[in-house]
Amino acid sequence: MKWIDAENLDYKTLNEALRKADEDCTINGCCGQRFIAAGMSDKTLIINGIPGNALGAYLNNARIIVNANAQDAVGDTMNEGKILIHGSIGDAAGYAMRGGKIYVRGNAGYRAGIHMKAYKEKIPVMIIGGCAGSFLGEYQAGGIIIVLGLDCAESHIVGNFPCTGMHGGKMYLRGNCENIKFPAQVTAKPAAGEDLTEIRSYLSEYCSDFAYDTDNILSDTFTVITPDSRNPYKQMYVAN
Amino acid sequence: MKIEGQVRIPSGCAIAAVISKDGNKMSGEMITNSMKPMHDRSNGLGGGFAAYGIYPEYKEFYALHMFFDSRTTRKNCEAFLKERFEIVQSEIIPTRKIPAITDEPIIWRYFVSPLRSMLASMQLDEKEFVVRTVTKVNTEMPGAYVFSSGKNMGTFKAVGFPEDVGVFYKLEEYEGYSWTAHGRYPTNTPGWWGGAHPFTLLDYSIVHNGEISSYDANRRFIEMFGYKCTLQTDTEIITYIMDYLLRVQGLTLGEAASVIAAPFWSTIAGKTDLEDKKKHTYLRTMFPNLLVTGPFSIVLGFNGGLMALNDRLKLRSMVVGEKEDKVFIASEEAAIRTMEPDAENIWAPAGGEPIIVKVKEGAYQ
Repeated sequence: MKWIDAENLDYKTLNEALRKADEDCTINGCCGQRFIAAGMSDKTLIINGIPGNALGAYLNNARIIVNANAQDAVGDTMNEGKILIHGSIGDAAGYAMRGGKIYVRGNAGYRAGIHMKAYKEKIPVMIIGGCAGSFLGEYQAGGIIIVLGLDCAESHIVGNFPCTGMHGGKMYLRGNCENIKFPAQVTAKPAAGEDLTEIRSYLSEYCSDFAYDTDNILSDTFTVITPDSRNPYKQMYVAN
Repeated sequence: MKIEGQVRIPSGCAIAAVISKDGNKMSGEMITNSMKPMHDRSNGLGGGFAAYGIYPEYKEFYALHMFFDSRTTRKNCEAFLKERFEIVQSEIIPTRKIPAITDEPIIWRYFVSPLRSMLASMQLDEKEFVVRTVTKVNTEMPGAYVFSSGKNMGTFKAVGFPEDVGVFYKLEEYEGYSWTAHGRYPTNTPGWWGGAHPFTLLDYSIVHNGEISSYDANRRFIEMFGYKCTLQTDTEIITYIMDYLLRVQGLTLGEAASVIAAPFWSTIAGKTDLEDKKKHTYLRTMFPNLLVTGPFSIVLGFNGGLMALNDRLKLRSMVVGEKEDKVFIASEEAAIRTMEPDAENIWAPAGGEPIIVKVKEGAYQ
């Protein structure tokens, strides 16, 4: 394990040091450096402090553990690997990711999972332990987004306009979601059978990462949301 | 060099703020340092700060901070100011020569009080008189520009990276209970000294990250009330809108936020609190031309407090944190951690949700 003191390092220097290291790394004193581990494929990285925007962009099978909050655009366009955040994340997490996992203990900002997609055997998975902001899964085209809403009121599990423009993939929200207004082009129904089986392994991995009890969480009701192909997405921003 | 409006450059920005609810004074060093981790959000074409509570010895006077392109312009402008104000102090704003900041204009400040005779003859209250005078200088005197005009506050701005601008203006020598900061990445216009944020009028100051799609619709409306958009940069319009809504129309901060970042009609229709629903319907109906669309995160500074606000779609980042008597606001959490490593309750307000922080009664000035 290589230790890197990030204090007073700009993002270029920090990322060069990461790329040069041929072993796992721990960054201490991280404070806003962008693009950490961009495109990285071969290591485990532990970050102490606040990583900057676009953490793990284009990530290609590295594993990142953040022991605090992360900022915007975590896992932008990531392809493979895993990002584990012990705090909360900012806006637009997992933007256009097509593979890999982003597991967050806390909350997500606006537009988590925006334009998430999938490719052949690759199915990206994002699990938010707390609540998510507005426009969750905006233009979602593939992959799986799960929001658990632990420690938050059920009515606040997600902000306004979830699934706007969703046309692929699946979203799971814990609870029966009676008070949540979904757009007309998606179908929300209680998750059962195959739907639950599909997320069980991801959830048990998440629960083991963050020390939660899987059975306890899975014993709750989940709502699964999928696009309704008979009634495709038309528009959002014009008639405001 | 071509100035704003003569060139269009197709871009980000950084904002930060700190306020002590107890009115405790802080030097400008902390807010200057907060901009360092956000360096890459700016491109060196503008940085600036607003500071509140910095001129207690002149707190009864309007502090006019001005740029001049030449000594002649300054002399002519001073002659004009003397016709309208009693000038109790006039001085160069102290700066430090550093390689990172070059080509500075003549930077001056005046502490002034409107002449009673002028107020009486024009039948204006003091603030309206100051607003009209500032507008007159900025529109009719080429080479002269008032960039700060409030009491017991001041803005400091330049072309450069914000952390250098703070050093240039020796902000560590000022003590304020509230500070805002901006690092600029001009999207539509080149950087020049007057085009750096904050944009101010009286004690209202705005720092803004974003780009206003509704600029021209807002401009056509607000110019009907005597404001003049002279800088052809979008942010100044927010300053005038806030002055109009708060000072002229007498709206509360929360109401003003609901005008410029109004909820969608569908969101209003879904409200179960009928009073709240009625209020939003009223505000959207009364001030449709002041809805500001496009991405923005702003901090409005004013005497005794500040308000942070995101556009209703939240197309820009903004994080808030607290520690003891202080509240911190920034585009990135890293900036807050730079100011206070142990900041607590870090959260990101929703789009259109104003964060209003006021210094407790009697604790400032």
